[in-house]
Amino acid sequence: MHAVSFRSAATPPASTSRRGALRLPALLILLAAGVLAPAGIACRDDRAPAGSAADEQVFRFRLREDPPTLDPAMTSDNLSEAITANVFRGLVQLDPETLTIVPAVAAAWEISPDHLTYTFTLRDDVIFHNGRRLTADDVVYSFTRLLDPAVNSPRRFVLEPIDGAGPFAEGTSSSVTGLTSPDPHTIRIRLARPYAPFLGLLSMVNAAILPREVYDDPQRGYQRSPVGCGPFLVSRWEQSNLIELRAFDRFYGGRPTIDRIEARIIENLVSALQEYRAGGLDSLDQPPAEDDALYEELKPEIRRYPYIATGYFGFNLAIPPFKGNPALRKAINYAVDKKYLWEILMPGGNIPAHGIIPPGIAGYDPNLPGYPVDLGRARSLLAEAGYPGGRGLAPFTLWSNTSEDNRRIALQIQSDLKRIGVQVTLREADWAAYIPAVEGTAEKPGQAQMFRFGWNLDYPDADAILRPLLYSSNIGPAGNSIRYHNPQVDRLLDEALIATDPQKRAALYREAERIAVMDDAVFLFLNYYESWTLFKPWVKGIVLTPLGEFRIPLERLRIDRSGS
Amino acid sequence: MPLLIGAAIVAAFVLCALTAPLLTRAVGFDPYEQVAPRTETPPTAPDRRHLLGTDTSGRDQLSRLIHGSRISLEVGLFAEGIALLIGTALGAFAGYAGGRIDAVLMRLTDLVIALPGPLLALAVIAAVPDPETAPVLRHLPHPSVAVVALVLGGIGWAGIARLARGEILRLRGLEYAAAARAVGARGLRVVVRHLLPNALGPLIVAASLGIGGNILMEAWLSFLGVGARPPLPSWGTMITEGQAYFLSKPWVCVAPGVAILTVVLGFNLLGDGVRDLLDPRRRSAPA
Repeated sequence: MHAVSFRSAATPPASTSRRGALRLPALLILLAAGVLAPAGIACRDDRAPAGSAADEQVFRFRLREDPPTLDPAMTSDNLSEAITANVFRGLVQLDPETLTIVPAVAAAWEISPDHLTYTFTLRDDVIFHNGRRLTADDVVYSFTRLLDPAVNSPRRFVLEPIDGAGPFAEGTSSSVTGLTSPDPHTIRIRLARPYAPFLGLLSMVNAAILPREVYDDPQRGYQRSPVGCGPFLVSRWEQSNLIELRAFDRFYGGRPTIDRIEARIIENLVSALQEYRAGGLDSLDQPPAEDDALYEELKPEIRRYPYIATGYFGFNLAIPPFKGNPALRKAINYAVDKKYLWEILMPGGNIPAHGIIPPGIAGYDPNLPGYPVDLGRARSLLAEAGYPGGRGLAPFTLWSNTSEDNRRIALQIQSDLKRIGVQVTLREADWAAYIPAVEGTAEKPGQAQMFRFGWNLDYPDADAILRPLLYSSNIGPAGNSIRYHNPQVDRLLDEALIATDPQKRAALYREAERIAVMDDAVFLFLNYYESWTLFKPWVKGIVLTPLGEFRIPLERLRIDRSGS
Repeated sequence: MPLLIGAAIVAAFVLCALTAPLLTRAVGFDPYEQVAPRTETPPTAPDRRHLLGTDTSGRDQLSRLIHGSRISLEVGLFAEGIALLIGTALGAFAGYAGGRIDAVLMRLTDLVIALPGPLLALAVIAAVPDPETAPVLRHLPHPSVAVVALVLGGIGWAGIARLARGEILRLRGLEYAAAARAVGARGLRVVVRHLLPNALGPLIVAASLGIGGNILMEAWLSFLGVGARPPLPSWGTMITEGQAYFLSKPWVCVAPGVAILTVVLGFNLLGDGVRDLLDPRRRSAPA
């Protein structure tokens, strides 16, 4: 249970998500790059307790690997976010509990009646870590930088709804016309067309406000020493060992109680667990499995909470046997016992799924029937699909990226399908080889017939999962790797994007999901994720959030050892 | 005595590997299939149905263990075969040719011996990330195992080469070699027909010890996740899969661990035994 990697890739307009992989809370593992688990065990940091003042507030958590980047424009994975979310701030942010939009650098904003113009009033007390006061020019600079083709951000789409973003990115215009600052305290953003989840996009760390004098540095010193205006500043980064953050005294929201944060890089879960037990970590993102000997000991310190992500096996709709055969896809859905999978075989961290939109997101449909296990229906649908008892169906290949847990999932699906006479072979590949096999290109389908994938939402809006995964213009690496094309779903997603009434939007998303799930059965629907995180009893002020354990607001934590 | 014990263990192991499909049929479970009862979280404990319990995916441990012997045998034999082939050829050539050729070949051998074997193996295997799709290799039954065998053979030949050279060097000075040359036999013929058969003893001993070493190495590489690819039931992979349960459900990794221990011990005893058998000084006592 370690290594993750959300890789990111160019994502087309309006599709948003971390490239698929999960840092699967406690369960699915993505072994993306190295398999040499023990190679990355961090050394003990013996400085920590000895040299520090007795009353210093220190919070130590574990990161599986070094973050690929600390540049907000390049951040597209949760390891990077674990740091950047604490160092940077944007105009707005998400309330970690309710996932509503709340002010950050912008104190207030107004949206014009036509939903095209957003006017933000900035706080006048925002100071960057280098001591300079933040002004509206910094916002214009930072947003322009994200769109700049020279920066080549994988998250350019975050600001693409802004009017003039396209011509600027293509180089036909020298500035983004929809982005202006009438005075040093005001930012005005004009959109090309109404875009309901726009504030959600602005809450992403990619839209952080950066000081121009640091980020124009051709030497790119900011890559190791980032400068933002968030509650913590990066004070040290020892590759493969430690990233240290310190409280920023002049943070506009008030100095955090925690003085120092250590993100300790420990790849191997067994080592991390031992370190946690020994008191070298205050928090750990992967508790032991329920049947592990350690589980009982650490159980009181495990926090469980929903995480907005969905796991599934995709059917490649462009090649046989799934092309044009919804009955076969439904038969497979009915044949696989999701309850056994998540409650007995691999308990912990997952809830059996009946659809695509995870709980907690507007549009989640508790009444969607989904596909509870039903072998009778599975067999009759299989016959309807043209393969009575599985006869005539050539064995197809079930792909998953290499990991122990993925293997267990694939094995169960294999043995479940065998019960209705469907033979599958299993295929594992490392992340780098897996992605091309699954996604193919925009023009050509990948070779994987059926493949494991997971998607976590970058901001809490059904658009952040349905559009990348199902919209027809996102076929290929943009997210729609199953190559689904249904004009009716496209139309519903477009309508929902410009609709402004939240109730109506949710209803449109429910309708789109119902078509994809019940009519077209585009995936083998498997699970909604849960975060499982260990916290020592002396860590107080924990705000559990559906955004995942790395988005827990560290500025609200405090350490109180008096009771423990 | 060691010879007998070693030979017995090795014979049992080879027999098990050769008849694995029959044995697993007798056990009653496919080594790749999830067979644990659906009411209990695997790994389930050993019971009458599953004599060694089931693994983390609910597969029958015993049938996986039996099938795993094939992987171990494949790697052990093929890697040692490659090492023997390269090592004997180079060693014999160097030993017989002597002079500069000998010097160059032996420095090359020194070089290979000086390389840290396990690390070199890791590096080479990491360079073939996806053996299942690699050119040539993918036509083999177990491409990932073939890579391991090739690599282990590719670094294991150096010791054999030294041994072969030493033997040839010793034998070529003997009278019968001179006699063969005197009647006009050419170098190659002298080496292959006259010298090598007499050098075989020590080589067989080295090879039998080498097979044990290769099996251990394969398990180690698989344990690190770079050897046999899942779902192949390599014993090393089985230990990795069970390591999280080491204290709570020890049977998951103890069974493959004991299997590796026994088989490697068997090959070592066999090697030692054969050496004793061939060693005239130790044979001096009346048998």
